[in-house]
Amino acid sequence: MGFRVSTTSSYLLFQRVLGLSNQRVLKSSEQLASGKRINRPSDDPEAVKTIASFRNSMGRIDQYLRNLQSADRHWTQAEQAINRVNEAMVRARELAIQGNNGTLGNEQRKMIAEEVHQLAQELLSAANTQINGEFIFGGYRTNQKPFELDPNYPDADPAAVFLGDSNLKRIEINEGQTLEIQMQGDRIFSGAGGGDRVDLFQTLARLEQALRTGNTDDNDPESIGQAIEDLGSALTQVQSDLASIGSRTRRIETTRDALVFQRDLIRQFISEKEDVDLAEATYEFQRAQLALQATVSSAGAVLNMPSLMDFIR
Amino acid sequence: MTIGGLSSLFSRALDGLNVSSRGMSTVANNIANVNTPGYARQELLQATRGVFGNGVLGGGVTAFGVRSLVDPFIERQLANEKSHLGSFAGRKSSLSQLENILSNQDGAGVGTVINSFFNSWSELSNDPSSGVLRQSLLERGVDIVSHFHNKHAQVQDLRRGLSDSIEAQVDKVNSLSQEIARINDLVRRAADESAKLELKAQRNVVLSQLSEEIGVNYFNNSDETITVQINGTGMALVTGIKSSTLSATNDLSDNGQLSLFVQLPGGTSTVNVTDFVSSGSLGGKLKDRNGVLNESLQKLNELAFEFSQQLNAIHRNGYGLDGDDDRNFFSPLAGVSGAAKNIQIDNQILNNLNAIAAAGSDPNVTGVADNENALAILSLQNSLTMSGGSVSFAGFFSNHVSSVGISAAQVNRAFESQLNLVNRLEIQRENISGVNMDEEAADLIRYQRAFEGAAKVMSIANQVLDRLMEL
Repeated sequence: MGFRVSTTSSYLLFQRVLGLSNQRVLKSSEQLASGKRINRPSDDPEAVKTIASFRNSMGRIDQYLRNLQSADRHWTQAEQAINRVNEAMVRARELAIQGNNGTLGNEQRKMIAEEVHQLAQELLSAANTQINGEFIFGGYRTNQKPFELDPNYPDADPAAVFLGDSNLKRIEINEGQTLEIQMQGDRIFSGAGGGDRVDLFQTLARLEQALRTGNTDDNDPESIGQAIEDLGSALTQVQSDLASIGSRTRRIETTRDALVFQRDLIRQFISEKEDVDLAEATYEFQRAQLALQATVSSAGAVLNMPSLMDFIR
Repeated sequence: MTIGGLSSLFSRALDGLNVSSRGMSTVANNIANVNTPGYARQELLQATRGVFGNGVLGGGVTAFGVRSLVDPFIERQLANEKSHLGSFAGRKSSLSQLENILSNQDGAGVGTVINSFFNSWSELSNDPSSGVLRQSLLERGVDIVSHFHNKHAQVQDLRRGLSDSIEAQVDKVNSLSQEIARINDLVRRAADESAKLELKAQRNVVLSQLSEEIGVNYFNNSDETITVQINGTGMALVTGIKSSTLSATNDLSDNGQLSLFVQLPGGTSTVNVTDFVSSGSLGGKLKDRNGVLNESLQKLNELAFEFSQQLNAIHRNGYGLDGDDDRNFFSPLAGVSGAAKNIQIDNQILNNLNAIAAAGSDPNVTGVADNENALAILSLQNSLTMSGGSVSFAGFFSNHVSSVGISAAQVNRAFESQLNLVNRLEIQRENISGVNMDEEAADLIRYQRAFEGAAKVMSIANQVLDRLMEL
């Protein structure tokens, strides 16, 4: 017996081939419709793992960026507060130089002293700056005013009390990196931290006292002239504090730039792994369609081939 | 020619008519069965009758039987490959459902909720005394809990569905085994050859159905019955005219197995065959039921346990806004087993947002902005906390999702290539045993012509006899 082909064989063959062609059309139309090359883990299990870890990083970067925004708000607020301090101290020095003039009468000095008293209030308000109801210079004690003037101001030592603590709140701004978003209030305003730090309240209090007593003897430690000298070192201190804020905001900027760059890179990676190449997918879809059409028409032709049965009368 | 030969003319013509009409009915039977699954084309066997005297004259023609055109090698191969195909088909559907459950649309699943939870801690570290942020952190915690509950329930549902379908298949295997035993009995007692042929063809169809359910091995006995065994074991499903009973027990606990047992005919004890049933759609489903589905439950449990355990350990070190420490965030779990189902936010946290421990020391002493414990908890997010310190929480689960994806992809590929193999074997089988309409048409004409010829002989013999009578 030679090689024979049964009638069912061609049906079986075309059934399978049609099934495969249909699958190809379905697969490429799914990719076109979803815009994704990967629609379930089995489409590319390794890539799915990578994409999951990329998405994980993206989620963290988004959070770091939110934290950086909050850090930025804190530092901007701190910078504004210390700028106010700077202006107050500059004005205090002007007033002091004015008041040190020997030709001035006691009444005029008292008026100047009154203005210096107002500057102490300005300093206090800057030291008690809030952001969203939190006092920014009080360390962890953000819910209470960190500074209070002594009731006997300016005749008290210390002139103002610090009620905060020396802890600094830190937040996470990058993988394993934290940034403090506070400055130590007692260091900035009360001369804590040793070295040649100056107590700003005390400096203003002494100036006020010297103005009220009219002490213009430059050699006397309680004179206006001495207060002017103290104000000079206070200004140097305030300006160096402003500079140190600048270094923080620069760190925020560079970290943000790096994170945004990283995020764009990751987005691109995910897209490369996951997204469908539209031109290629369209081409593949058309090819699959064409193959299906060819199969269908050849199946039609083969399965309708004339049979001997047609010729039996 | 002797006059006696004249009467034999009639009987030979009658032989011819008989054999041709049987030939035509064989053809008719083939045509009728052109689409019958497993049908093997039949051929009429005919031979000349014994001869008279010196062997000059043939004694007519006789049809002595019908034979089926079957290649036992291909039949056996086909049954075997079909049972592998069944195994892949069974696994294909359960694995694709599992990968849909485990990976959300974004392919991340549980990793995403865990990361949102940590992000909420990071958010809280900005402003530890904020009630709004505490509330939102609690909600992310609840998301994690319900995610674990949902995934656990979904995987369990899938497993239950699979178990039900395995149990239904066990019943089907039993009824197919009984059917084979019944046909065996009929074959044994059948009187004539063609009845036997028909019964054997029937038996082959049932056997092929059985082998799609469960991989089997079979051999012929001397009384033409067959013995059917579970592939790879000597465990018989059918011995001659008796069938064994397959039964299943389903352990519903998270790491519980579905086990299969065989009770031999007349026996009282059962034998566990779970580890031997590996092919057929039953074998495929059993493999996933006891394998990857249990593994997924286990992974969910491990993750839920470790996550709650490690989070609690750090959480207990911290202080709430109310100044108390040593409180759990999640209710402590007894162990890995059932953790994904039992994980809960601790009541102390649910009832009191201020119990969330963001501070490293008592905030009533140090201050409400203390966020040191929130930062400590944050450090868990990327720590290699799982699998003996080799992978993070999120990484642990995405590894599992990926490994399910790998299995699913493998099974999909294996299914397709197995389908090709079975398709080729079926075509090969059809080319040997299938019906070809052209061939049948030719045979039909052939037998028709033979019939017409025999009828002509009959009519001529009649004319000859008439002429003789006129004398």
